Amino acid sequence: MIDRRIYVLGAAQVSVQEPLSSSWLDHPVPLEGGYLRARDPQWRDYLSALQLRRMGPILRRAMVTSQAALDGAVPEAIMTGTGLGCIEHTEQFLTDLCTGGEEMLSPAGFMQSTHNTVGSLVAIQTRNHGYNCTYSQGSLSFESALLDAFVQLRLGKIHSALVGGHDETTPKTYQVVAHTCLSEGTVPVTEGSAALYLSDSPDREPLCALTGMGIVRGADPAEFLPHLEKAARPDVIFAGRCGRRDVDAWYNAVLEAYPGVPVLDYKQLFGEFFSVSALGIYAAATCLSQGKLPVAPACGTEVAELRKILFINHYEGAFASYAVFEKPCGD
Amino acid sequence: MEDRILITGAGILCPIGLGKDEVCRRLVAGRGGIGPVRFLDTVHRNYPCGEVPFSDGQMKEMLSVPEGKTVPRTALMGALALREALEDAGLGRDMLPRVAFVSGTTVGGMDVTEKHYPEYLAGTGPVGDIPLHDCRSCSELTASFAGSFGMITTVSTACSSAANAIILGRNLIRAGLFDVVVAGGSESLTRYHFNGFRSLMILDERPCRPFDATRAGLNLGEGAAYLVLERESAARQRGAGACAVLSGCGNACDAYHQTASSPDGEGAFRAMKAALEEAGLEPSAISYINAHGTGTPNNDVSESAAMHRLFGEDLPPVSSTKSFTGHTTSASGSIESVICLLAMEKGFLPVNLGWTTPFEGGVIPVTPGTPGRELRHVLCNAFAFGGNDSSLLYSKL
Repeated sequence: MIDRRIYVLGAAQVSVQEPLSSSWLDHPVPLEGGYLRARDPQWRDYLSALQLRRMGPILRRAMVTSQAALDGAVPEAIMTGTGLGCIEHTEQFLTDLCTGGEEMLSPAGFMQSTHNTVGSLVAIQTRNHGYNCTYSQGSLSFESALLDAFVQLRLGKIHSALVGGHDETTPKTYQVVAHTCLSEGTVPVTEGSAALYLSDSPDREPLCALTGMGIVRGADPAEFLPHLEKAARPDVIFAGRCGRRDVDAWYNAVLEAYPGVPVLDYKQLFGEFFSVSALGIYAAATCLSQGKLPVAPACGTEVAELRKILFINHYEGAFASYAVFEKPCGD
Repeated sequence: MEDRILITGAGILCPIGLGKDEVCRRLVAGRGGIGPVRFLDTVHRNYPCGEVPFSDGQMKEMLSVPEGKTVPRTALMGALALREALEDAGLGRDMLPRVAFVSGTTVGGMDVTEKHYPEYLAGTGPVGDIPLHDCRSCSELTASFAGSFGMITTVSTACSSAANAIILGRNLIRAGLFDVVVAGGSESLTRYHFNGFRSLMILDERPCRPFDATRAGLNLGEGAAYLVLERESAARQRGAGACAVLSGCGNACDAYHQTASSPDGEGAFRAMKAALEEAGLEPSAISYINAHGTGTPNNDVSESAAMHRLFGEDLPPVSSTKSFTGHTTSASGSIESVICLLAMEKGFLPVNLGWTTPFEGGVIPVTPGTPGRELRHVLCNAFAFGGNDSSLLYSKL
C-alpha cells in the first residue's frame, strides 16, 4: 500500500453545541439533564421548502453538515456511519404496524427507514454517482465509515471522500437507550451529525492530516495499547469518558500509558449517542486547525504546541478504535 | 504483480437449502424454493415467500442454542452459513483473531423487536430486548458462534449490503490490514419489511418472473451466505484450496430516487463497468451475469437498459436466481455470489424460472433450453434502495 497522505479539508457539525460553528471552543454550551436534542440551525437558510417537507431531523442535519464540510467540492466517494439510521421513520412504521395492523400501512415511514437513506440522500441531492456505502456498527459506526475511506484513499482507489456520522435520538429511542445504557452521573443522551471532507491532496488549506487509524480488539487495555505504538507522543488525547464507571475504567487504564498528556473528554461537549465519535473526530480536526483546545469544562489545559491528537474510542463489546490526527508536515 | 484475492471458502443457507451441495442440486434441477408462508407471522398469506426451510427452534438445535435464549433469526441463519464457510476454508478457531468479519444486514433483529414492540408501546414489556437487536448486535452474535474475530463491522446498504461487505473485505486485504476476511450477509424475513415492501406495492402474489413481460413484483426471501476472501500468497502459505478469484468490484450510486431505479440504469451501468475495469476485462469476456433481477417492473427495465448499454450486441447469458430464492434483500449479494461460484465450478448456467415472454427492451434470460458454456468470468449484481448499486466479478483460477 502506497503511503499516501490523507488530509481533512473540511469538517462541520450539528449537535447540542451551536450548529455549524466552532464556538464550542470558546463558549461551550453546558450540558444539563439526561436527554438533549440537537440545536438545529435555521433550516430555511439551508434547505428548500420541498426538502424540509420530506426530510426528518437526521436527513436535514446530514445534508447541511455535508454541504458545509464539502464547501462546493465534489467527493469521489461518500461513506456514512449511523447506529440507528432514520429511527424516527422506523419507529413510525413499526408503531403503525403494531397498533393498526398489517392492512392500512403507508409506505412513507418504510421508504426512509433503511440505514443507507442518509448516505444515498446526500448522493441524490448532490447528484453524486461515486462509491457510496453505509455502516451500522453501534459506537464504531463512524469509524467503520472512516476506515473504508482511509483504506481506499491509501490504496489510491479514490482521491477524496465525504465521511459522515449521523444519528437522531427520538424520545422513544431515549427511553430504550436510557434503560440499558445510561447510569447515574453520565453525560446526557444526545444526538447529532458531523461530516468530514477528506482528500489525498491539500487543494485547500487542510485542517489536519489523518495519519493512522484502526478498529481492533481492545476491550482489554493491554490488548489495545500495542496498536497505539505508532501514535507515540500525542500532545493531547481525545477520550470518550462519559461518567459510566465501566466505560471510564477502560479509558483510565489506557491513559495510564500516557502520563502527563492532557485529555479532552469530548462527550462532555457533545453527549452520548452511537455516532458521537464523529463529533469527537470533528473536534480533533477543528482543534488542530485552530491550534487550541476548548476551555473548561471539557479540558482547560494549555498545550504549548498542538501538533498531534490521538483519538480513542471504546464503549462496549470487544472492539475499540483509534485515530491519529496531525498538523500537516512542512508547515 | 499484485496478489490476487482468492475465494477459499463459502457457506450458504437459503430457501433452496443449507450448504453448497444442496443449493447446487436444486439449481441444476430447476427446483425453486418459493412457496406459501410457513414461519412468517403475517395475515397476508396470499404472497409467496422464499423462506429458509427451518424454524428458529430447529436452527437453535443445529447450533446447540438453548431453546429459551433469544437469538434473532438473522443471527441464526448467519451462524449456520458462517460455519460452513469457515469449515470449507479450513479456518480454525485459533486463526480467527487474525481474520476480519464483515457482515451485511439491514433489518437485523427486527423479528425480535417487532414481537416486543407492542408491549413496549403499552409500557408493559421488557424494553431491554429492543436495543439488543440492532445491526451490530446481529453481526457480533453471528460471529460469536464461530469464535473471536480480529475485527467486526456491519455494512447496511439495504439490498446491496452483502455485496458491499465483500468489497470492503477485498479492500481491507488489499490495504494489508488482513490476509483473510469473511464477508457476506444475513437477513431474515420480518413483518416489518414484508409489510414495507407490500405497502410499496412491489410484491407479486404469484411466484416472481424476473424479466418477463407479465412480471408484477418480487417475492421476499431470506437467508445468509459468507465468502472467505484470502490473499493468494497467504492461501498458498497455509495450503488452502480456492474455487475462484474475486477479480473486480464496482460500487456506484444511481443518485436518482430513494426507492426507484433510473430508467437508463446509470448506477447499475457504472457499477458493472467499474468491476470490468478493475479486472482489466472487456465486456465480451463475461460469460454469465447473475442479475439483480427482482421481478419488479422498474428494476428489470433499469437493469436491462444498463446491460444493453454496457454489452451492446454481445450480451452474455443472464438470469435472476431470485426466481429460486426470492429476494433475500441484504443477503442477496453473497447468496448470489455463492450461486455464481457453484455455476462456475460445476459448469452450468442457472436458469431464470418463470420466464416465458420478453418485454420491449428487456433481456432474454437463461431458460432450460439455453445451450451451456464454460463460465470463465461472471458478474453478480446487487442493487438497493437509495441507488446503492454494486457488481462483483468472479473469475476461474
